[in-house]
Amino acid sequence: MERPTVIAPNPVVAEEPSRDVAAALCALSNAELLRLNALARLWTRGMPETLSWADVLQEAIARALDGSRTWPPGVPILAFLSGVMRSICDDHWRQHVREARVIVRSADAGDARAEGVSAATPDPERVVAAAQALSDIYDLFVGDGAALKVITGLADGLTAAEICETYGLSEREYDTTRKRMRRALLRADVEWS
Amino acid sequence: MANWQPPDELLRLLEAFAAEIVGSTDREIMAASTLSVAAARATLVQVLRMRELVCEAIDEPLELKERPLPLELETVAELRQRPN
Repeated sequence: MERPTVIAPNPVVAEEPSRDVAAALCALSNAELLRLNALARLWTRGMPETLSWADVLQEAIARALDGSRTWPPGVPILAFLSGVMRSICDDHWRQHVREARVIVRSADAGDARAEGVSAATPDPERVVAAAQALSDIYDLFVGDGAALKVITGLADGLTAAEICETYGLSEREYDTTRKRMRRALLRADVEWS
Repeated sequence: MANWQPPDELLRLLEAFAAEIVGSTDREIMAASTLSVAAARATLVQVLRMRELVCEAIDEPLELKERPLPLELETVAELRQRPN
């Protein structure tokens, strides 16, 4: 029983330094494309509407192709692109914060009080978006007590063994719960899309 | 504006879910995609859209776009919904 690892059943992995991201993308099966789609949707959940999952995915592919993000040897292409998409979303949030700072300063440069207040206050849009994303996740598993325990443990950064110990789950219960969670997650992605 | 980041709780869950998606089997993802005929149709559209998107991103012409779609998906979904 281990924590989830980013390894696909038959992953397409980089083998040589001169690995060809484009060729790997061309070789993706229909199921892998669906996984890639699900990953893009997952990472853009809670993002502003101006940034779509397709934008994030295209940007991730562009970064992989232009070499600004290198595909490490042995890492499945989907896991690699998932990491790039996460990074793009992080960048987007940071950029959003910088732009908001500039807007506040430009709008009322003389009002030091306004700037002082804004400096201590998180962007409400982001807070709401994050809260909504978390709420969506928990809602997905409402009615499944074991899944909610696992989710809570994962959210707290616990390992599988720690989750079992904390919530009194057997290894088998944990494993079957994770499988159930995976099915619900994949199903939800189809329904949301 | 504080240098706010999404809560660690959310980021850890997204990481865990991303790992679940990457680690899912073809059977699992296809099963999730054929829960209903509507879902199967949506999946076909999604695959086509993904192929187009990838083609656009890598500037790949027809060859990739012409790859056959999993047309059997809709049939599977119909079979699933039939009573015994």
